[in-house]
Amino acid sequence: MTLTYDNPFGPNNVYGHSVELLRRLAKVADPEAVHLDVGCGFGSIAASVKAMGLHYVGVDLDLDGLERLKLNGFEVHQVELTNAEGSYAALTDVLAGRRLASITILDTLEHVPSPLEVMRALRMLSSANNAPIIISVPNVTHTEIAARMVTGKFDYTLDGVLDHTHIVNFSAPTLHRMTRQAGLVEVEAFDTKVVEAYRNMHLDKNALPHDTSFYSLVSYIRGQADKTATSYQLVRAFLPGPEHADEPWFTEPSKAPERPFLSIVIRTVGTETFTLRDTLACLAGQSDHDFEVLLMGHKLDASRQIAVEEVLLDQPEFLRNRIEFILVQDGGRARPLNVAYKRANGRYIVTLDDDDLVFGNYVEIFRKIHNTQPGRLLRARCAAQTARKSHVSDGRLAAISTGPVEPKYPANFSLLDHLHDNHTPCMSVAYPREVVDTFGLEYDEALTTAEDWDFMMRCYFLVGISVAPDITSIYRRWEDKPSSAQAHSPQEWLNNRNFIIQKHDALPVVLSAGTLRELRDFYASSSHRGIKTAALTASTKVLKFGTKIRRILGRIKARVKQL
Amino acid sequence: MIVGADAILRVQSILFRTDVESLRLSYLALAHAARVLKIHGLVGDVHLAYGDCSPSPILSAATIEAWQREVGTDNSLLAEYHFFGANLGSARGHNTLMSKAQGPLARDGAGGFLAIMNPDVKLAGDTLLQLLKTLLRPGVGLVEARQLPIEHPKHYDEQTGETSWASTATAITTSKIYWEVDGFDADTFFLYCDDVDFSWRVRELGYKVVFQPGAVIFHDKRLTLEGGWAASEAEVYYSAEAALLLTHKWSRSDLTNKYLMYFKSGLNPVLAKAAAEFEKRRASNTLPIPRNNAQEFAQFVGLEYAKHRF
Repeated sequence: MTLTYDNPFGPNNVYGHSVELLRRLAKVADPEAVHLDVGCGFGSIAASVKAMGLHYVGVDLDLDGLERLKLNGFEVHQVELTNAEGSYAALTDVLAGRRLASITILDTLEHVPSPLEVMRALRMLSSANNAPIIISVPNVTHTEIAARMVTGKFDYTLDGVLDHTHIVNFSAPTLHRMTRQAGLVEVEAFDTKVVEAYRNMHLDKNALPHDTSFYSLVSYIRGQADKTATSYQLVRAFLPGPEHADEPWFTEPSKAPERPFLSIVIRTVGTETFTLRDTLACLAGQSDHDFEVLLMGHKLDASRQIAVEEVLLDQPEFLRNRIEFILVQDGGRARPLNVAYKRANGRYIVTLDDDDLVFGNYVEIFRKIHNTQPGRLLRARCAAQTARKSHVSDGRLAAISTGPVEPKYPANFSLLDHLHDNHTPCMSVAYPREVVDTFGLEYDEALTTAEDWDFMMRCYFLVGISVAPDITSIYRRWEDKPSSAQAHSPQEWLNNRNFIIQKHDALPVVLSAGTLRELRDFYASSSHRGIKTAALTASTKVLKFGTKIRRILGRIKARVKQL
Repeated sequence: MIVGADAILRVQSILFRTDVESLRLSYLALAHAARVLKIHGLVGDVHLAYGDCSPSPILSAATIEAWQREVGTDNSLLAEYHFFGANLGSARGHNTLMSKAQGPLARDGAGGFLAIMNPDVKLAGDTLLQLLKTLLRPGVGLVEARQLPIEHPKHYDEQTGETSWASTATAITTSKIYWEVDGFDADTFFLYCDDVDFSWRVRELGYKVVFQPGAVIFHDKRLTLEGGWAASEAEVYYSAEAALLLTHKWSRSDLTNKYLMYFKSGLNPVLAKAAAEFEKRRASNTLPIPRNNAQEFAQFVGLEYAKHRF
């Protein structure tokens, strides 16, 4: 070992975070209990561990660090980490029958040939006393690395995340899967967060400036995907748990799980179940039954829950078996959607309100669009129809239409129209599951209206959209009960709309091929119609888009943090 | 009408090249609705009769047995299947099926309930229950379910549900009434308006025809890209032919002549063909005899057979 790894303790670095996790989890009642620091290096945490009342024992293969620790009065042992049994035997010898309080293995696993074997050894060691194990590994999926890899740059460095001596690279999911296979359960996380870690550490003179559109886009996408975009080191605490020896830590893409084509998410508050009956009847009549239904009961009291369950009992078995009834008792309108979208198994996910109707080809047309351009948003056309309640004696309360089915919503998706307002009711657009799984997008729970518009546009900016002109759904406009449009004040709608527009203006976006032509055609047609000023204004906005994004992005980030 | 463990409901559907998978789902939905009905104690048994007008049989005994196993032996829906070997149309198809009914629903039987339904509709769980409860109201002779996703826009009384006629996409009556009106007029109607005519004859007997919106069925209708009806050539032809025959039978020769004039104008060859067929029947004296007192029961509003809500 060289002094490359002789890094001092700091409250905000991996050592400070590890000690903090130890303080939360380690039992320090027994002053003879041992803290084992595996791959201890120069023992940056030794003094802090000792101050906690534990007996620090450092083990490493390299003698440089061990000698200095020994000089400072700490117990040290030279140990080579091999396979699980060998490592376990060596570390058991080190303990020599003493009680084990806790273990750290910091920035070490990435250097050993089989980190899984070492994890297994540590699990065996910790099982007797249920001793917590603190693991830290560098995060190879940090935004800085992601931005470089997109342009083909993957350069090893002397040290840091891309240390040239690393054998296995870790991401949060990799660490999760490997520890799970070894039989460790994560109980706490306290990653080190450094936005500009790579360029600062290496004084990188060639790094791409953050203000570029490209970096903004990568940073945005990576930041949405999970919470580790700026995690420099993943610092996690584990306890021994069930082993999953048959579930390998590496992925096997060819073994993707069987999925239904579509997950249909229905929100209900359980107050007027007669409309839910209609919606479910339409699903029973689908020509393509490759779907599941997630029926999200939101804030239901016992009587409403029973009312919904009665509706479910009335469904034929072939439909009822496809329905999962899930209760969500908190949050606003968007909460049940976020719960459902994370839980959905479908290749695509769509939201269907509990008072809307769909035609028999609802699922079929989504599949047809998917077959043409898989992976995009799938949009079919929606119609509108007025309706009211009706109660004929000897029957149950029902909905009745009061006007013709009118194809009010456009057959095509116009970006310009949708930048201004929503023209796509929620049930007419299905989302590829990647918007949740890969990009980590969620409905904005701060919004009380138009959350579907906001979500759709953010998804559109990442995956694009593919459309079919077929009318497959009916949005019912109620004459005698408040719709969502009427349930909120005009001012509330306006406030939410302004907030959404502000958010979208701040986004770095990806436009599908052909979109620029749409913008150009709009400009040309506007000029042709003599509304040059408006067109020029729109054009100017487009030209100033990049500047605006950067300016507003900062403000929104600050606002989101406050929320 | 007797209800309870001894009562029987017979459900009839006419098949014509029906998609078998869609039919299976309809069977399963019907079986569930039948189970709900039986749980409520209104009938003891539900029998299903299929009449197949397809060129070759689309079902087999093995297929139906498989469906019955899927439902479960405790809740199995007794089904009979008759292959007609000819396209009889809906009216003659139902009459033929009813002629094969045995026990209480036979012409000389004690009576039972009779539901007519399109083979591919999907019943909600409580549809039969809602229909039957409404039929049991004194004076009601025929009850129609509400269709989804496109409802029929017929006007109905908000309280009683009384309406001009009932669509047999799914409707329920009694065998007594069926035999009393002598079934559907198969000599006149092949595919459309047989239910309008049946409804008006039920009303002639003094019964009410009722629309029950609480009884829901899914009837797979689709729209054109412009939001209109996607009517096939056959649908246009049989609708036009039925309109001529219905107006003639229910003593509105003024409308018959008006339609004929338009159909014969040659703007649409399909309509012209319907007009020609009508004239052929007139020449061969096979048109129905116009009914007396028709205006008390028959409603012709514009091109429709009832006042519409919209």
